[in-house]
Amino acid sequence: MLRNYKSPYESSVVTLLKDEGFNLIGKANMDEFAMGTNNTFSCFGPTLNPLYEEPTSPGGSSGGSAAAVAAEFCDVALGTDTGGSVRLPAAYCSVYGFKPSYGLISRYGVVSYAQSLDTVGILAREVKHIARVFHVLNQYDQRDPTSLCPELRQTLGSRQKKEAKGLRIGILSQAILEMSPEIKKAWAGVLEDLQDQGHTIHTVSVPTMKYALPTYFMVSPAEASSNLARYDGIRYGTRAETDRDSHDTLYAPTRTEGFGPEVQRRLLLGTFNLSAGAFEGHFKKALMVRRIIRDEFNALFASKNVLVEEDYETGDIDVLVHPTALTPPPSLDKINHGDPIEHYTNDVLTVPANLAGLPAISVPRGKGAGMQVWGQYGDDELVLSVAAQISKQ
Amino acid sequence: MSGHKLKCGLEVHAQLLTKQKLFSSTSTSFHAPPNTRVSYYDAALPGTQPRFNYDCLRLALTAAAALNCDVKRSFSFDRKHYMYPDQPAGYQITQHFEPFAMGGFLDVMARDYSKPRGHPTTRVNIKQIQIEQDTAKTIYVDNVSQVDLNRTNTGLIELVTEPDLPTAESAGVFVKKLQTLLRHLGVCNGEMETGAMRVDVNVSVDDGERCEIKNLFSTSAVVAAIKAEFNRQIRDIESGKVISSETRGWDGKETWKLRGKEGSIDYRYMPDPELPVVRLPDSIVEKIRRSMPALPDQVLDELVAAPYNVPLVDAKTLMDHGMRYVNFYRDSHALFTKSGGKKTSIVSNWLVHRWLGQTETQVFPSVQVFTDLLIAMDKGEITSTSAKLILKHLVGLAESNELTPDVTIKSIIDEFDLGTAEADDQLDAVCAGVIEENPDAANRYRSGKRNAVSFLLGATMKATQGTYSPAQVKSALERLLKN
Repeated sequence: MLRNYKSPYESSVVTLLKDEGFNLIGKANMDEFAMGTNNTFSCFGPTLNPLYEEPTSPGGSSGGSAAAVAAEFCDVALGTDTGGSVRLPAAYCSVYGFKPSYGLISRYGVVSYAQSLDTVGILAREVKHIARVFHVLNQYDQRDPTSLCPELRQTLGSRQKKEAKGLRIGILSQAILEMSPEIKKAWAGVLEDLQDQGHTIHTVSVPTMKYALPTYFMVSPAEASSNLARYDGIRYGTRAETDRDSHDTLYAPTRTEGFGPEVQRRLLLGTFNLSAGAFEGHFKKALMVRRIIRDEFNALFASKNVLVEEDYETGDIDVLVHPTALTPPPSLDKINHGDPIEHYTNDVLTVPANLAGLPAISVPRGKGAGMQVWGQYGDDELVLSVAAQISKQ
Repeated sequence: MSGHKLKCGLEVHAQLLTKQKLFSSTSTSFHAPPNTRVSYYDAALPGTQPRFNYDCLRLALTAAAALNCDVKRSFSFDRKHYMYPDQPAGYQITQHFEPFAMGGFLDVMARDYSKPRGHPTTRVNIKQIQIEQDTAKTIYVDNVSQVDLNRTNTGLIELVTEPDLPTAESAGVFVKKLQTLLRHLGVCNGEMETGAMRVDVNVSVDDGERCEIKNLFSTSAVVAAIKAEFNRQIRDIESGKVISSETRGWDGKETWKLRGKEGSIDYRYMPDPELPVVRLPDSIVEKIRRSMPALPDQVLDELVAAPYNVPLVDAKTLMDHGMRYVNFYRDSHALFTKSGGKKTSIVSNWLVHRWLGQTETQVFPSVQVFTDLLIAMDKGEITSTSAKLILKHLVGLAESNELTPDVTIKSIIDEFDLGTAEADDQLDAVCAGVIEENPDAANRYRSGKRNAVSFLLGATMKATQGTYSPAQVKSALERLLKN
């Protein structure tokens, strides 16, 4: 749809990086409109994972960014994370992938997929590179209506810095799922390491997290069906020849030709979720569940969520640690012979952070595996500190 | 009429008179060349985002306060989806789930009708007002539709009334009254012909299903379409048909079906996921109410009462022209009275009928010049004939933009030698001539028919071209006729 489209303006993140002296070397491949978990839904063809001989998924949707960092084409890459699209590729490609708290980095110039979840993310081989870029990009931008306002940024900034020592680390009982033995082993190893460094481990629960995945697949396609309604071929982008003459069509052929199969699947799902018959039972309910999930996370964390105005009882957990994906990356062969819907479950351990707007980083731990550190909204520095304490092995 | 009961409700879209658009900083312009007032956001380019223009909110709140609505302390925006070339993003940002204002009213009073007698006061309840984006304009040229995005994302308020209007005429009067109110407050220019204000009407008969008539571009179209639709529904009811809810168009004579309920569109409303909730301070509506000028109804009350005593129809004309004219009137009236002018009714009379009635120009004489003219006439320094000539002269200067500050009434009187002459021998000579030329009238006067003097007066006035006042002429004639 946008293959030959060139934006006439620059996004805020690119401007900020350029001003800081970063060299931009190119654009990376990704799943079309950020929809996909294996980078196989691209009009440029799939991206391959540089760690594997056999053609293997680099993860998606920002798979090109992760592969470029893993292949040492660049030190740092940007991606967007709506349901795990930065963290999953980071895990599959054994690099760091950071999704900051929602609203900290400007989305101005970011093509919207589902903007109540969309977050600009950073990929790198070192935590310090992630931190460096994050500090450049963590700015209020009046052009982005979801950019966290300067007052709340100040509140966050003046909050006493928590040192990453003797932390109470939580493991979500909802994250204890069936997973590959090597992932399970990596998780146990990380938790042991952290304990050795003086942190304590506690099992905690976010009961509604079991509905996170269905909630995500109600909300994100619905927003996508709205955001992608603008791609009609009239003002810019691809347009089907049949829509140009008097065939009594205007958009349908353009959108059928211009969108790939995964985008079409999600647009149909989203269109249905917003239809008069489904809105109440699907979309509206999903928004309610999303709120409950957020509240349950708030009750868990020791620091208060600055976005919540009312007082509430906080918990005693500083950060959560669990795997990014349940398995190492699948081969392209396996992907091509599977059901496309199967891969939706890849997001099960990443989407809750998007639904709640939390900062989350995937830390490489062995080949094709990543461990996530999550923190309370605004505790981005703490999350980065903990990530730096976990060895890559 | 015919024992059937009519009920009308209106949906009015009014463009907000702000410098910039609703969710972008593009300037609004209604006469700019096509597609020259379009930002990346307006054209729905990927990656662009909305930014709420709080000036639109200020105007919307002003309208809500003037219409006695309850304003929500916090509200948000929703997306209404439909794909059409005039809707670049594929959705319109509106307030479907939570309009910012609910439950107001506007009273249509007897005096609001052009013939006030016999009309009851109708309270028209306002169901809700919402803020939303305007669409682009589609222009059809030789079967090709061309899209002009200038209007895209201009701020609108949509105002929905309850079905409280009992006649087509009352609906027309309501629309006019609303136009005057919004114009008065600077919320909207009220122009229907340019589409700055657009009206859809809902018509139901005998509490049956309602039909919506779309795109009525003038007050008279509103009245005529309601009448035609009322008659159509009565015809259908009386011939045993069932009225079903549908959307209809108007061709100037008849309404016609655009689409029925089965063709209704599922707009897939969704709360906008990126626009923040707007929160208002508790005091904002009170603050706006306090800073609002007197509303048209109050101004009208003031004008028709002492000391002004302006005839209702003239007061309405002044109000229709806008506060600039009302203020001009009040200033002129004050100056006239202060200068010892006696017949104050000439101030509104001359302003409404001899100025506004004569010219479309927006250029105005100063209050001083205009009032000086009336005072000179009131004091008999010039005749009313001369005063009319001077006013015409002023209109001419205004229209050719030559009404400079050095133009004074005194300078015009001197320039054209229009001052009232002292009664003199020359007047006597003209009068004697007129009497001689009209022996019949002179004889009738002499035989006791005093009215006959008016004929001679007219002839003399014509001959002297307003050099002398009627009183001077009359006394000279009477003196000569007695001899």
